[in-house]
Amino acid sequence: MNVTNFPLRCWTIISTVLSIGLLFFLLGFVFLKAQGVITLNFILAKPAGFPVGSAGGIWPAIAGSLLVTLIASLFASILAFFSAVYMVFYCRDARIHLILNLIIQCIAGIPSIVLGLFGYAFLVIKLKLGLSILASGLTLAIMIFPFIQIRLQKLFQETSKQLLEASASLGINQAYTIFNLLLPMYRKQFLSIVTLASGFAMGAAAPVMLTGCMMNAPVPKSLASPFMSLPYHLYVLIGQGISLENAYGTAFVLMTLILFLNLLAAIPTILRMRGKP
Amino acid sequence: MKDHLILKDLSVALGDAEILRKVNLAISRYKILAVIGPSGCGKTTLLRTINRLIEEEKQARVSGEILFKGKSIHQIPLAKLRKDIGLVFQQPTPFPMSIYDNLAYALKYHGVRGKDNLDKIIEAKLKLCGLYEEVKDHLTMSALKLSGGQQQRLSIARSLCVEPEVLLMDEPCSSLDIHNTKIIEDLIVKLSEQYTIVIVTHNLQQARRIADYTAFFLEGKLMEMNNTEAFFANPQEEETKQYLQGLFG
Repeated sequence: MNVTNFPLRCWTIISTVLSIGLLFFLLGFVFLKAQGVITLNFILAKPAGFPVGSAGGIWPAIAGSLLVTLIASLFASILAFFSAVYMVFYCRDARIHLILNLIIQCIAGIPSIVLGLFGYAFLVIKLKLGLSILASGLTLAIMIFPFIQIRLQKLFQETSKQLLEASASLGINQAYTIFNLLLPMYRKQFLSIVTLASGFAMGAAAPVMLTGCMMNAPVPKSLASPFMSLPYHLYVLIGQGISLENAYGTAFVLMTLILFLNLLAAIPTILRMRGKP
Repeated sequence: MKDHLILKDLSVALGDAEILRKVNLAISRYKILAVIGPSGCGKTTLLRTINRLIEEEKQARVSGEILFKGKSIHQIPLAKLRKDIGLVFQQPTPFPMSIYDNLAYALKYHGVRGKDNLDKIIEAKLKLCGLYEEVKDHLTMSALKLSGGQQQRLSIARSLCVEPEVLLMDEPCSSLDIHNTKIIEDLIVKLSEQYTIVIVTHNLQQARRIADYTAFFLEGKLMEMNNTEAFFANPQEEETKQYLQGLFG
Protein backbone atom coordinates (compact mmCIF):
# COMPACT_ATOMS: atom_id res chain seq x y z
CA MET A 1 0.00 0.00 0.00
CA ASN A 2 2.94 2.28 0.57
CA VAL A 3 3.49 2.44 -3.16
CA THR A 4 0.14 4.12 -3.79
CA ASN A 5 0.37 6.24 -0.67
CA PHE A 6 3.67 7.80 -1.56
CA PRO A 7 2.63 10.00 -4.52
CA LEU A 8 -0.44 11.18 -2.63
CA ARG A 9 1.62 12.14 0.39
CA CYS A 10 4.13 13.95 -1.79
CA TRP A 11 1.39 15.86 -3.53
CA THR A 12 -0.31 16.89 -0.28
CA ILE A 13 3.02 18.18 1.03
CA ILE A 14 3.78 20.02 -2.21
CA SER A 15 0.30 21.59 -2.22
CA THR A 16 0.66 22.76 1.35
CA VAL A 17 4.12 24.21 0.78
CA LEU A 18 2.94 25.88 -2.43
CA SER A 19 -0.06 27.54 -0.81
CA ILE A 20 1.91 28.80 2.18
CA GLY A 21 4.75 29.83 -0.11
CA LEU A 22 2.35 31.73 -2.32
CA LEU A 23 1.16 33.86 0.60
CA PHE A 24 4.70 34.73 1.64
CA PHE A 25 5.75 35.36 -1.96
CA LEU A 26 2.80 37.68 -2.50
CA LEU A 27 3.39 39.58 0.72
CA GLY A 28 7.12 39.78 0.08
CA PHE A 29 6.67 40.84 -3.50
CA VAL A 30 4.23 43.62 -2.68
CA PHE A 31 6.39 44.74 0.23
CA LEU A 32 9.52 44.92 -1.90
CA LYS A 33 7.74 46.94 -4.55
CA ALA A 34 6.14 49.20 -1.95
CA GLN A 35 8.98 49.78 0.48
CA GLY A 36 10.02 52.98 -1.25
CA VAL A 37 6.68 54.66 -0.67
CA ILE A 38 5.61 53.31 2.70
CA THR A 39 6.25 56.24 5.02
CA LEU A 40 4.26 57.77 7.82
CA ASN A 41 3.43 60.62 5.49
CA PHE A 42 2.05 58.20 2.89
CA ILE A 43 -0.25 56.70 5.47
CA LEU A 44 -1.38 59.92 7.10
CA ALA A 45 -1.57 62.39 4.18
CA LYS A 46 -4.31 63.15 1.69
CA PRO A 47 -3.81 62.16 -1.95
CA ALA A 48 -2.22 64.98 -3.90
CA GLY A 49 -0.54 65.71 -7.20
CA PHE A 50 -1.93 65.81 -10.69
CA PRO A 51 -3.53 63.49 -11.58
CA VAL A 52 -4.61 63.10 -7.99
CA GLY A 53 -2.97 60.11 -6.32
CA SER A 54 0.34 60.51 -8.04
CA ALA A 55 1.64 62.13 -4.86
CA GLY A 56 0.55 62.50 -1.23
CA GLY A 57 -0.87 59.70 0.81
CA ILE A 58 -3.88 57.48 1.35
CA TRP A 59 -5.30 58.41 4.75
CA PRO A 60 -8.87 59.13 3.52
CA ALA A 61 -8.86 55.74 1.78
CA ILE A 62 -7.71 53.96 4.96
CA ALA A 63 -10.33 55.73 7.06
CA GLY A 64 -13.02 55.19 4.41
CA SER A 65 -12.24 51.50 4.14
CA LEU A 66 -12.33 51.03 7.91
CA LEU A 67 -15.61 52.91 8.26
CA VAL A 68 -17.39 51.23 5.37
CA THR A 69 -16.24 47.86 6.72
CA LEU A 70 -17.57 48.74 10.15
CA ILE A 71 -20.97 49.68 8.71
CA ALA A 72 -21.11 46.51 6.62
CA SER A 73 -20.09 44.26 9.52
CA LEU A 74 -22.60 45.84 11.85
CA PHE A 75 -25.57 45.43 9.53
CA ALA A 76 -24.53 42.01 8.26
CA SER A 77 -23.89 40.55 11.70
CA ILE A 78 -27.22 41.72 13.12
CA LEU A 79 -29.07 40.30 10.13
CA ALA A 80 -27.04 37.09 10.11
CA PHE A 81 -27.46 36.54 13.85
CA PHE A 82 -31.23 36.76 13.77
CA SER A 83 -31.64 34.72 10.62
CA ALA A 84 -29.34 32.00 12.01
CA VAL A 85 -31.37 31.99 15.23
CA TYR A 86 -34.55 31.66 13.23
CA MET A 87 -33.19 28.83 11.11
CA VAL A 88 -31.88 26.82 14.04
CA PHE A 89 -34.32 27.49 16.86
CA TYR A 90 -37.61 28.61 15.38
CA CYS A 91 -38.01 27.18 11.89
CA ARG A 92 -39.75 23.82 12.33
CA ASP A 93 -40.70 23.23 8.70
CA ALA A 94 -38.02 21.28 6.85
CA ARG A 95 -39.10 22.68 3.47
CA ILE A 96 -38.83 26.30 4.56
CA HIS A 97 -35.46 25.46 6.05
CA LEU A 98 -34.29 24.00 2.76
CA ILE A 99 -35.54 26.95 0.71
CA LEU A 100 -33.93 29.49 3.04
CA ASN A 101 -30.64 27.64 2.96
CA LEU A 102 -30.78 27.63 -0.82
CA ILE A 103 -31.51 31.36 -0.96
CA ILE A 104 -28.63 32.17 1.37
CA GLN A 105 -26.25 30.10 -0.71
CA CYS A 106 -27.49 31.91 -3.81
CA ILE A 107 -26.75 35.27 -2.17
CA ALA A 108 -23.25 33.98 -1.45
CA GLY A 109 -22.89 33.26 -5.16
CA ILE A 110 -23.93 36.68 -6.48
CA PRO A 111 -21.01 38.27 -8.35
CA SER A 112 -19.84 41.31 -6.44
CA ILE A 113 -20.18 43.65 -9.41
CA VAL A 114 -23.82 42.64 -9.73
CA LEU A 115 -24.24 43.52 -6.06
CA GLY A 116 -22.67 46.86 -6.88
CA LEU A 117 -25.19 47.39 -9.66
CA PHE A 118 -28.05 46.42 -7.31
CA GLY A 119 -26.71 48.78 -4.66
CA TYR A 120 -26.60 51.57 -7.21
CA ALA A 121 -30.06 50.95 -8.66
CA PHE A 122 -31.87 50.17 -5.42
CA LEU A 123 -30.05 51.91 -2.57
CA VAL A 124 -28.51 54.90 -4.31
CA ILE A 125 -31.29 55.73 -6.77
CA LYS A 126 -34.52 54.12 -5.55
CA LEU A 127 -34.06 54.63 -1.81
CA LYS A 128 -32.35 57.94 -2.52
CA LEU A 129 -29.38 57.21 -0.29
CA GLY A 130 -27.16 58.86 -2.89
CA LEU A 131 -23.55 57.95 -3.51
CA SER A 132 -22.69 57.49 0.13
CA ILE A 133 -20.74 55.40 2.59
CA LEU A 134 -24.08 54.10 3.90
CA ALA A 135 -25.11 52.78 0.47
CA SER A 136 -21.71 51.14 0.05
CA GLY A 137 -21.79 49.72 3.56
CA LEU A 138 -25.20 48.18 2.99
CA THR A 139 -24.13 46.71 -0.34
CA LEU A 140 -21.08 45.16 1.31
CA ALA A 141 -23.32 43.93 4.11
CA ILE A 142 -25.35 41.94 1.59
CA MET A 143 -22.12 40.47 0.29
CA ILE A 144 -20.81 39.29 3.68
CA PHE A 145 -24.19 38.38 5.18
CA PRO A 146 -24.13 34.75 3.92
CA PHE A 147 -20.52 34.38 5.05
CA ILE A 148 -21.53 35.19 8.63
CA GLN A 149 -24.96 33.55 8.54
CA ILE A 150 -23.74 30.15 7.34
CA ARG A 151 -21.01 29.99 9.99
CA LEU A 152 -23.27 31.15 12.80
CA GLN A 153 -25.93 28.67 11.80
CA LYS A 154 -23.38 25.87 11.94
CA LEU A 155 -22.20 27.08 15.34
CA PHE A 156 -25.76 27.12 16.73
CA GLN A 157 -26.54 23.73 15.26
CA GLU A 158 -23.63 22.25 17.15
CA THR A 159 -24.94 23.46 20.51
CA SER A 160 -25.42 20.50 22.80
CA LYS A 161 -29.11 19.64 22.95
CA GLN A 162 -28.76 18.87 26.62
CA LEU A 163 -27.65 22.40 27.42
CA LEU A 164 -30.74 23.81 25.71
CA GLU A 165 -32.94 21.30 27.50
CA ALA A 166 -31.33 22.10 30.83
CA SER A 167 -32.27 25.71 30.27
CA ALA A 168 -35.80 24.80 29.16
CA SER A 169 -36.18 22.58 32.24
CA LEU A 170 -35.73 25.62 34.44
CA GLY A 171 -38.89 27.05 32.91
CA ILE A 172 -36.87 29.43 30.76
CA ASN A 173 -38.07 30.48 27.33
CA GLN A 174 -36.07 30.30 24.14
CA ALA A 175 -35.44 34.02 23.75
CA TYR A 176 -33.84 34.28 27.20
CA THR A 177 -31.79 31.16 26.51
CA ILE A 178 -30.53 32.61 23.23
CA PHE A 179 -29.52 35.98 24.64
CA ASN A 180 -28.29 34.92 28.07
CA LEU A 181 -26.82 31.50 27.44
CA LEU A 182 -25.91 31.13 23.76
CA LEU A 183 -24.81 34.66 22.96
CA PRO A 184 -22.35 34.90 25.86
CA MET A 185 -21.21 31.34 25.15
CA TYR A 186 -20.49 32.04 21.50
CA ARG A 187 -19.35 35.65 21.91
CA LYS A 188 -15.77 34.97 20.93
CA GLN A 189 -16.58 32.79 17.94
CA PHE A 190 -19.19 35.29 16.79
CA LEU A 191 -16.68 38.15 16.93
CA SER A 192 -14.12 36.03 15.19
CA ILE A 193 -16.52 35.21 12.33
CA VAL A 194 -17.50 38.86 11.94
CA THR A 195 -13.85 39.92 11.96
CA LEU A 196 -13.05 37.43 9.24
CA ALA A 197 -16.02 38.65 7.22
CA SER A 198 -14.95 42.25 7.66
CA GLY A 199 -11.61 41.39 6.09
CA PHE A 200 -13.53 40.01 3.16
CA ALA A 201 -15.59 43.22 2.92
CA MET A 202 -12.56 45.47 3.21
CA GLY A 203 -10.92 43.95 0.16
CA ALA A 204 -13.90 44.28 -2.16
CA ALA A 205 -13.83 46.99 -4.83
CA ALA A 206 -16.78 46.15 -7.06
CA PRO A 207 -19.64 46.67 -4.56
CA VAL A 208 -18.34 50.08 -3.48
CA MET A 209 -17.24 51.59 -6.78
CA LEU A 210 -20.79 52.09 -8.03
CA THR A 211 -22.36 53.04 -4.71
CA GLY A 212 -20.36 55.79 -3.09
CA CYS A 213 -16.66 55.39 -3.57
CA MET A 214 -14.74 58.32 -5.11
CA MET A 215 -11.36 58.86 -6.67
CA ASN A 216 -10.78 61.68 -4.26
CA ALA A 217 -12.82 62.51 -1.19
CA PRO A 218 -12.12 63.61 2.37
CA VAL A 219 -12.63 61.35 5.36
CA PRO A 220 -16.45 60.95 5.46
CA LYS A 221 -18.19 63.19 7.98
CA SER A 222 -21.56 61.48 7.89
CA LEU A 223 -23.25 58.35 6.62
CA ALA A 224 -24.42 60.33 3.59
CA SER A 225 -20.90 61.38 2.52
CA PRO A 226 -19.06 59.76 -0.35
CA PHE A 227 -15.71 58.28 0.61
CA MET A 228 -12.47 56.74 -0.58
CA SER A 229 -11.61 53.08 -0.20
CA LEU A 230 -8.30 51.26 -0.49
CA PRO A 231 -9.25 48.65 -3.13
CA TYR A 232 -10.93 51.24 -5.35
CA HIS A 233 -8.01 53.64 -4.93
CA LEU A 234 -5.69 50.82 -5.95
CA TYR A 235 -7.85 50.09 -8.97
CA VAL A 236 -7.79 53.71 -10.10
CA LEU A 237 -4.06 54.11 -9.55
CA ILE A 238 -3.31 51.13 -11.75
CA GLY A 239 -6.23 51.31 -14.16
CA GLN A 240 -5.51 54.90 -15.10
CA GLY A 241 -1.77 54.50 -14.93
CA ILE A 242 -1.42 57.18 -12.27
CA SER A 243 1.30 55.70 -10.10
CA LEU A 244 2.35 52.08 -9.97
CA GLU A 245 4.52 52.73 -6.91
CA ASN A 246 1.67 54.24 -4.91
CA ALA A 247 -0.54 51.38 -6.05
CA TYR A 248 1.88 48.91 -4.48
CA GLY A 249 1.98 51.06 -1.35
CA THR A 250 -1.82 51.02 -1.20
CA ALA A 251 -1.88 47.27 -1.82
CA PHE A 252 0.57 46.70 0.99
CA VAL A 253 -1.47 48.74 3.46
CA LEU A 254 -4.66 46.95 2.41
CA MET A 255 -3.06 43.53 2.75
CA THR A 256 -1.61 44.39 6.13
CA LEU A 257 -4.99 45.52 7.42
CA ILE A 258 -6.72 42.37 6.18
CA LEU A 259 -3.95 40.17 7.53
CA PHE A 260 -4.28 41.92 10.85
CA LEU A 261 -8.04 41.29 10.86
CA ASN A 262 -7.50 37.63 10.03
CA LEU A 263 -4.98 37.25 12.82
CA LEU A 264 -7.39 38.96 15.18
CA ALA A 265 -10.07 36.47 14.14
CA ALA A 266 -7.70 33.58 14.86
CA ILE A 267 -7.05 34.64 18.48
CA PRO A 268 -9.88 32.55 20.03
CA THR A 269 -8.65 29.48 18.19
CA ILE A 270 -5.08 30.07 19.26
CA LEU A 271 -6.14 30.59 22.87
CA ARG A 272 -8.21 27.42 22.77
CA MET A 273 -5.26 25.44 21.47
CA ARG A 274 -3.21 26.67 24.36
CA GLY A 275 -5.91 25.38 26.71
CA LYS A 276 -7.20 28.71 27.91
CA PRO A 277 -10.97 29.29 28.00
CA MET B 1 -53.61 15.98 48.71
CA LYS B 2 -51.30 13.06 49.25
CA ASP B 3 -50.57 12.24 45.63
CA HIS B 4 -48.42 14.92 44.13
CA LEU B 5 -48.32 13.55 40.62
CA ILE B 6 -50.78 11.14 39.04
CA LEU B 7 -50.28 9.49 35.67
CA LYS B 8 -53.42 8.16 34.00
CA ASP B 9 -53.23 5.85 30.99
CA LEU B 10 -50.12 7.66 29.82
CA SER B 11 -48.87 6.50 26.42
CA VAL B 12 -46.03 8.05 24.45
CA ALA B 13 -44.91 7.25 20.94
CA LEU B 14 -41.99 8.63 18.98
CA GLY B 15 -42.80 8.12 15.34
CA ASP B 16 -43.75 4.47 15.00
CA ALA B 17 -42.06 3.40 18.20
CA GLU B 18 -44.25 3.04 21.25
CA ILE B 19 -42.16 4.13 24.21
CA LEU B 20 -44.69 4.14 27.04
CA ARG B 21 -47.89 2.09 27.10
CA LYS B 22 -50.81 3.01 29.31
CA VAL B 23 -48.86 3.83 32.42
CA ASN B 24 -50.85 4.47 35.57
CA LEU B 25 -49.10 5.51 38.72
CA ALA B 26 -49.30 7.94 41.60
CA ILE B 27 -46.38 9.68 43.26
CA SER B 28 -46.74 10.81 46.85
CA ARG B 29 -45.56 14.12 48.17
CA TYR B 30 -42.11 14.21 49.77
CA LYS B 31 -41.35 10.64 48.83
CA ILE B 32 -38.64 9.21 46.62
CA LEU B 33 -39.82 7.04 43.76
CA ALA B 34 -37.13 5.03 42.01
CA VAL B 35 -37.85 3.98 38.45
CA ILE B 36 -35.88 0.95 37.33
CA GLY B 37 -35.84 -1.22 34.25
CA PRO B 38 -33.61 -2.31 31.38
CA SER B 39 -32.30 0.20 28.82
CA GLY B 40 -34.96 1.41 26.41
CA CYS B 41 -37.89 0.63 28.68
CA GLY B 42 -39.05 4.24 28.67
CA LYS B 43 -37.68 5.45 32.00
CA THR B 44 -36.15 8.64 30.63
CA THR B 45 -39.15 9.28 28.38
CA LEU B 46 -41.34 9.09 31.47
CA LEU B 47 -39.46 11.97 33.08
CA ARG B 48 -39.37 13.97 29.86
CA THR B 49 -43.12 13.54 29.48
CA ILE B 50 -43.83 14.80 32.97
CA ASN B 51 -42.13 18.15 32.40
CA ARG B 52 -43.28 18.21 28.75
CA LEU B 53 -39.79 18.22 27.29
CA ILE B 54 -40.91 15.33 25.12
CA GLU B 55 -43.18 17.67 23.20
CA GLU B 56 -40.14 19.43 21.77
CA GLU B 57 -39.51 16.30 19.72
CA LYS B 58 -41.17 16.62 16.37
CA GLN B 59 -42.48 13.08 16.21
CA ALA B 60 -43.72 12.74 19.75
CA ARG B 61 -47.33 11.77 20.39
CA VAL B 62 -48.61 11.76 23.96
CA SER B 63 -51.97 10.45 25.12
CA GLY B 64 -53.45 9.98 28.54
CA GLU B 65 -53.21 12.44 31.37
CA ILE B 66 -50.74 13.70 33.93
CA LEU B 67 -52.13 15.48 36.96
CA PHE B 68 -49.89 17.72 39.03
CA LYS B 69 -51.56 18.61 42.33
CA GLY B 70 -54.82 17.46 40.82
CA LYS B 71 -54.54 19.66 37.72
CA SER B 72 -53.70 18.51 34.22
CA ILE B 73 -50.18 19.60 33.29
CA HIS B 74 -51.55 21.03 30.07
CA GLN B 75 -53.62 23.51 32.04
CA ILE B 76 -50.51 24.87 33.72
CA PRO B 77 -48.42 27.42 31.76
CA LEU B 78 -45.33 25.64 30.44
CA ALA B 79 -42.84 27.92 32.20
CA LYS B 80 -44.65 27.48 35.51
CA LEU B 81 -44.84 23.71 35.08
CA ARG B 82 -41.12 23.38 34.38
CA LYS B 83 -40.31 25.72 37.24
CA ASP B 84 -42.39 23.55 39.57
CA ILE B 85 -41.09 20.25 38.21
CA GLY B 86 -37.32 20.39 37.83
CA LEU B 87 -35.24 17.95 35.83
CA VAL B 88 -31.67 16.87 36.54
CA PHE B 89 -29.93 15.13 33.66
CA GLN B 90 -27.74 12.07 33.48
CA GLN B 91 -24.68 14.07 32.50
CA PRO B 92 -24.01 17.19 34.58
CA THR B 93 -25.05 20.22 32.53
CA PRO B 94 -23.18 23.23 33.88
CA PHE B 95 -23.57 26.27 31.65
CA PRO B 96 -20.29 27.70 30.37
CA MET B 97 -20.29 30.59 32.81
CA SER B 98 -19.26 31.16 36.41
CA ILE B 99 -20.63 29.09 39.28
CA TYR B 100 -22.53 32.12 40.53
CA ASP B 101 -24.00 32.93 37.12
CA ASN B 102 -25.10 29.33 36.65
CA LEU B 103 -27.34 29.76 39.66
CA ALA B 104 -28.32 33.37 39.04
CA TYR B 105 -29.28 32.58 35.44
CA ALA B 106 -32.71 31.15 36.17
CA LEU B 107 -33.31 33.31 39.22
CA LYS B 108 -32.99 36.48 37.17
CA TYR B 109 -35.33 35.08 34.56
CA HIS B 110 -37.94 34.34 37.18
CA GLY B 111 -37.77 37.86 38.49
CA VAL B 112 -35.45 37.72 41.48
CA ARG B 113 -33.82 41.15 41.66
CA GLY B 114 -31.10 42.67 43.77
CA LYS B 115 -27.71 41.22 44.55
CA ASP B 116 -28.59 40.58 48.19
CA ASN B 117 -31.59 38.46 47.27
CA LEU B 118 -29.62 36.54 44.67
CA ASP B 119 -26.72 35.98 47.06
CA LYS B 120 -29.02 34.72 49.77
CA ILE B 121 -30.78 32.15 47.58
CA ILE B 122 -27.58 31.01 45.89
CA GLU B 123 -25.82 30.52 49.19
CA ALA B 124 -28.77 28.60 50.63
CA LYS B 125 -29.01 26.25 47.64
CA LEU B 126 -25.28 25.65 47.52
CA LYS B 127 -25.36 24.82 51.22
CA LEU B 128 -28.31 22.51 50.73
CA CYS B 129 -26.33 20.64 48.06
CA GLY B 130 -23.22 20.53 50.22
CA LEU B 131 -21.26 22.54 47.72
CA TYR B 132 -20.97 25.85 49.51
CA GLU B 133 -17.87 25.13 51.57
CA GLU B 134 -16.07 23.78 48.50
CA VAL B 135 -16.80 26.70 46.18
CA LYS B 136 -17.52 29.73 48.38
CA ASP B 137 -14.19 31.33 47.52
CA HIS B 138 -14.46 30.53 43.81
CA LEU B 139 -17.94 31.64 42.90
CA THR B 140 -16.62 33.56 39.92
CA MET B 141 -14.71 30.56 38.61
CA SER B 142 -16.02 28.84 35.49
CA ALA B 143 -18.38 26.02 36.42
CA LEU B 144 -16.70 23.87 33.78
CA LYS B 145 -13.64 23.66 36.03
CA LEU B 146 -15.53 21.81 38.76
CA SER B 147 -15.19 18.05 39.09
CA GLY B 148 -17.94 15.80 37.73
CA GLY B 149 -19.52 15.28 41.13
CA GLN B 150 -19.42 18.98 41.91
CA GLN B 151 -20.90 19.78 38.51
CA GLN B 152 -23.79 17.44 39.18
CA ARG B 153 -24.42 18.98 42.58
CA LEU B 154 -24.31 22.39 40.92
CA SER B 155 -26.89 21.19 38.38
CA ILE B 156 -29.10 20.05 41.24
CA ALA B 157 -28.59 23.34 43.10
CA ARG B 158 -29.51 25.19 39.92
CA SER B 159 -32.75 23.23 39.61
CA LEU B 160 -33.54 23.97 43.26
CA CYS B 161 -32.94 27.70 42.84
CA VAL B 162 -36.28 28.16 41.11
CA GLU B 163 -38.07 26.47 44.04
CA PRO B 164 -39.54 23.41 42.35
CA GLU B 165 -41.91 21.08 44.19
CA VAL B 166 -40.93 17.97 42.31
CA LEU B 167 -37.45 17.00 41.21
CA LEU B 168 -37.05 14.52 38.38
CA MET B 169 -33.61 12.94 38.20
CA ASP B 170 -32.41 10.94 35.24
CA GLU B 171 -29.65 8.61 36.45
CA PRO B 172 -27.89 11.49 38.21
CA CYS B 173 -25.05 9.28 39.42
CA SER B 174 -24.34 7.24 36.33
CA SER B 175 -21.30 9.29 35.35
CA LEU B 176 -19.92 9.56 38.87
CA ASP B 177 -17.58 7.46 41.00
CA ILE B 178 -18.61 5.72 44.22
CA HIS B 179 -17.59 8.58 46.48
CA ASN B 180 -19.58 11.17 44.55
CA THR B 181 -22.50 8.79 44.16
CA LYS B 182 -22.66 8.49 47.95
CA ILE B 183 -22.67 12.27 48.32
CA ILE B 184 -25.49 12.67 45.79
CA GLU B 185 -27.51 9.84 47.34
CA ASP B 186 -27.28 11.41 50.79
CA LEU B 187 -28.30 14.69 49.21
CA ILE B 188 -31.34 13.12 47.55
CA VAL B 189 -32.51 11.65 50.84
CA LYS B 190 -32.07 15.03 52.50
CA LEU B 191 -33.92 16.79 49.67
CA SER B 192 -36.90 14.46 50.03
CA GLU B 193 -37.80 16.32 53.21
CA GLN B 194 -38.76 19.29 51.05
CA TYR B 195 -39.24 17.93 47.57
CA THR B 196 -40.98 15.04 45.86
CA ILE B 197 -38.37 13.09 43.93
CA VAL B 198 -38.59 10.73 40.99
CA ILE B 199 -35.24 9.15 40.23
CA VAL B 200 -34.48 6.94 37.25
CA THR B 201 -31.65 4.58 38.03
CA HIS B 202 -29.83 1.63 36.60
CA ASN B 203 -28.44 0.82 39.96
CA LEU B 204 -30.75 -1.52 41.88
CA GLN B 205 -28.80 -1.07 45.09
CA GLN B 206 -29.23 2.65 44.78
CA ALA B 207 -32.98 2.28 44.49
CA ARG B 208 -32.91 0.03 47.53
CA ARG B 209 -30.78 2.46 49.55
CA ILE B 210 -32.69 5.66 48.96
CA ALA B 211 -36.17 5.11 47.51
CA ASP B 212 -39.45 4.93 49.41
CA TYR B 213 -41.15 3.35 46.41
CA THR B 214 -39.77 1.48 43.45
CA ALA B 215 -41.39 1.04 40.05
CA PHE B 216 -40.23 -1.49 37.48
CA PHE B 217 -40.73 -0.72 33.81
CA LEU B 218 -40.39 -3.18 30.96
CA GLU B 219 -40.94 -2.37 27.30
CA GLY B 220 -42.84 0.77 28.14
CA LYS B 221 -45.18 -0.86 30.62
CA LEU B 222 -45.26 -0.37 34.35
CA MET B 223 -44.87 -3.96 35.53
CA GLU B 224 -44.89 -3.45 39.24
CA MET B 225 -44.70 -0.75 41.86
CA ASN B 226 -44.51 -1.12 45.60
CA ASN B 227 -42.78 0.32 48.61
CA THR B 228 -39.13 -0.41 48.18
CA GLU B 229 -38.71 -2.89 50.96
CA ALA B 230 -41.60 -5.06 49.81
CA PHE B 231 -40.62 -4.60 46.18
CA PHE B 232 -37.19 -6.12 46.66
CA ALA B 233 -38.18 -8.65 49.32
CA ASN B 234 -41.19 -9.99 47.56
CA PRO B 235 -41.57 -9.10 43.90
CA GLN B 236 -44.91 -10.17 42.51
CA GLU B 237 -44.29 -10.44 38.80
CA GLU B 238 -42.13 -13.09 37.18
CA GLU B 239 -40.34 -10.49 35.03
CA THR B 240 -39.52 -8.41 38.09
CA LYS B 241 -38.00 -11.41 39.81
CA GLN B 242 -35.88 -12.22 36.79
CA TYR B 243 -34.74 -8.61 36.45
CA LEU B 244 -33.85 -8.37 40.11
CA GLN B 245 -31.89 -11.61 39.82
CA GLY B 246 -29.96 -10.09 36.96
CA LEU B 247 -31.29 -12.56 34.40
CA PHE B 248 -31.74 -9.71 31.90
CA GLY B 249 -31.16 -6.02 31.78
